[in-house]
Amino acid sequence: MEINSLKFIIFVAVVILLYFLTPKKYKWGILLISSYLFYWINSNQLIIFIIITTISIYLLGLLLGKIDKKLKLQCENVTKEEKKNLKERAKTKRKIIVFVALIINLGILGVIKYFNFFCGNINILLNLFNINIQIPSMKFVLPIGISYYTLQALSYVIDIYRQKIEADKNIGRVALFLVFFPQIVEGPIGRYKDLANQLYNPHKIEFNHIKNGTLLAIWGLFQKMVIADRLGIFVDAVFSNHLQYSGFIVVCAVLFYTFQIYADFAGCINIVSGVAEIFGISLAENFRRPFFSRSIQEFWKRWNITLGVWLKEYIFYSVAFSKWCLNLTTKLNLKLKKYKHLAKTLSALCPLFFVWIANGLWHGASWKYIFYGMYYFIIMAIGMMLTPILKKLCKYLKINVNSKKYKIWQILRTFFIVNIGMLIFRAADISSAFSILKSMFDFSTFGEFFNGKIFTLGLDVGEFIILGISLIIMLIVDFLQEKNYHIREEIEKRNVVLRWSIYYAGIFSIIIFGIYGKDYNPSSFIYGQF
Amino acid sequence: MKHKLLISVSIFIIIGLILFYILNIILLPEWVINNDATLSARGIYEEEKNSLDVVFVGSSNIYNGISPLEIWQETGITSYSYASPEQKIWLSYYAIQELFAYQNPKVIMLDMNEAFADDNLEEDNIRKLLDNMKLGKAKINAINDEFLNYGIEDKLSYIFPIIRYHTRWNNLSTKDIKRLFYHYDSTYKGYSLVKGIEPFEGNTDYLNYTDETTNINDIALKYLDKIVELCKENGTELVLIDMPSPNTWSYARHRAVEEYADSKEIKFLELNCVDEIGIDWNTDTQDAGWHLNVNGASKVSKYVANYLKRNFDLTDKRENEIYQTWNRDLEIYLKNK
Repeated sequence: MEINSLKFIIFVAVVILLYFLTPKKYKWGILLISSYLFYWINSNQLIIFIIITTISIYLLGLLLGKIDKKLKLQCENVTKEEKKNLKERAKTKRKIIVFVALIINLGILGVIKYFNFFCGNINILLNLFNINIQIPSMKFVLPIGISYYTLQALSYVIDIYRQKIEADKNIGRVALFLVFFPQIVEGPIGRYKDLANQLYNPHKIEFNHIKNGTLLAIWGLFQKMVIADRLGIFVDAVFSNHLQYSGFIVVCAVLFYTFQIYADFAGCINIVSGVAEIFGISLAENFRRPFFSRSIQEFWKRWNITLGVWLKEYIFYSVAFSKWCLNLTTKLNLKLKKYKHLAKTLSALCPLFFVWIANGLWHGASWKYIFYGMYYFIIMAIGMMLTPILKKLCKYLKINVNSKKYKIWQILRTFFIVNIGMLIFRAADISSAFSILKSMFDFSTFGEFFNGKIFTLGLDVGEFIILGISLIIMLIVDFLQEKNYHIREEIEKRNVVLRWSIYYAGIFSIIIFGIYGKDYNPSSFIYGQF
Repeated sequence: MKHKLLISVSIFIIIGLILFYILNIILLPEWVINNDATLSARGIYEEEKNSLDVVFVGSSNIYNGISPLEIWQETGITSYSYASPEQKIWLSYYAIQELFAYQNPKVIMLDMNEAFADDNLEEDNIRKLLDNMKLGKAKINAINDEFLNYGIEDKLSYIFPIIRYHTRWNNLSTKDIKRLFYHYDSTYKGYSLVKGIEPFEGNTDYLNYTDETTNINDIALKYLDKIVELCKENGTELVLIDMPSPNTWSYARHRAVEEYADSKEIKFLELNCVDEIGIDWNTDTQDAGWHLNVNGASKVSKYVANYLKRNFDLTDKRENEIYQTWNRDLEIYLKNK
């Protein structure tokens, strides 16, 4: 059940109705049952994996909580020495529990998502050393949302371990936190402390919630169905046959893909958040106008925010505060006394390396995605190393870094780097990524700008006009949000004719211009596969 | 405050529904809404309720081969050709269901030419009937039929055709807007007047006796049984007919229909190779024996008219005040014939 399908709309409508008709006490039950039903419809018996995850983190969480409580009790009226011993023992136990949670949940994800990739690579290695053993590949079907809910599950256990939250005694709440139906598809990746109680607590019918949620979902549908899927027709035509195209057409395809994946992913998040808002639940923000970023660091703080936050919390900090990394930092500081900036950069790069490996691998089990992660790692590393030099250069050349022009230059530079990243992301493999990149610089074909070839790739003039208008609308919306306008509130202030016209235009533009139905192949959400 | 909100939400929804309705009509393609064949499906709603004595149901053979105004001229019996391209028996079943919602004919004559063909029907030919069918029990039953095996989105696309045709925004013209104010023409009572001649040059003794036997398709048979029941329930007499077509009809088929009719104790009117009709395949077909042209239709209709007069107690309405529009339509028909 795609979340931009009629079936989903009907499903949501029924759940909303049931939710508001059910007595307060059981409202959360409606959400849980409908979420499991949604999961079952999409993944059938694979639902077992999310159930295993739920039960495992619930029990392990409780166990962690118990150890903490027991320790507190034991620590009363004992000597300092004994206290230390008890703490040490508890620490070991707690570590084991977290380790078990990691093994179970990363184990499931690892086997289902990465088994074939790792075994394929091991086979290549074995071949290299002339060892005649081959690990057979296996066919796995990915249960929906596994990459998303596994991260949520891990964050829950680690947060208890880090004593940021207390273990939940209510398995229903833990289950709902992992499986909440609109969110399960493509995130945003929620944190237990922000989400669990919101989902569990009953919410009243509020007209404003229904209206604002619906509006947000309509905007998301517009992004997905009118913009992303329309761009996708052109992008697919070029990328699936990239050797036939070069220059202008490829530049367009790369640029279009960047917009496509944004409209697709942000659109999906808006649908999800809109549906949640109808229930009175507010989900974490996942996109903050990423194309206005002035640096790659900033881009990743605005793009798929919840993944970035997760990686920072649970990979960056875990590595940065690990013993060996702290040792490394001390050593670097000692050895590179004269080059403080370099030492600082190098010690920050160490955990960052793991963050980007994880980021790449999270997107998919292939070298292409690892390369994608490394691309951003290297760009960031270079950026960090060169910061002092650039600063000096700007000072020397008397460039005002606070001027509008410089800011625009930074935005364009970042956008260019992001486009290359998206090219790697979209290409079938690393070698085609390079070949596409190379073909972009074939200036001999730029005549194609005028000869109408661009209209032969699935989108005719009319389609391009609709595309242009809707891209401009999306850009304006992003721009206004960047300027701190609250679009929905702004519309609310207008007179009824204008207000309703905007609403009708939104609804009917999806119905008329949306890419759906038999004449188009409805495409699934790009981020749903990760 | 609550009342005000409720009213404004209601108004918003009503305006939205009106816009949605309008868009559904505007975006229908021309081939669904405005061709000779589909006019038969639309035009039936222009007829006065319960005004038809006889309705012919079936494929293009019907709307090309039966001219109700010829029957009117001959006998004063009111009839209508309610047909769509390649209409299979399973689709005829729903056409007849729809018919009973608006008319209470004494006789339904069902075309058997498609009962032996493949039961599958191209989507456009299904849509030429169903997209033109008003929303009601018959339409709902049709789209829910197991045979079609439609998913929810397919089903909804028959109720809201915009789901199927929204891509047509790129080809809209003022003609599509005018459609909103268009009145469907039922002057010819579902008949599609074609004057062209393309002679049939094959063997005209195709109905000669052979030992060959053939069977009505299983699916067609199943729905035929349902049609028999449905007509019985509505007190309407069902007559099976085979429209003249040397390309599709045969003695083996004749025998199969005859056997079926006998088993159900219903009438079967053979129209192929009946000397009395006097079909001349050099002048009476528009496409080398597949369909009749106006010459053929006129002959067949007159023959059917006399059959109806002989076999059923149907009153002559030519002098009836209420039916004078039929005389006016006849004048137009005769002028254009």
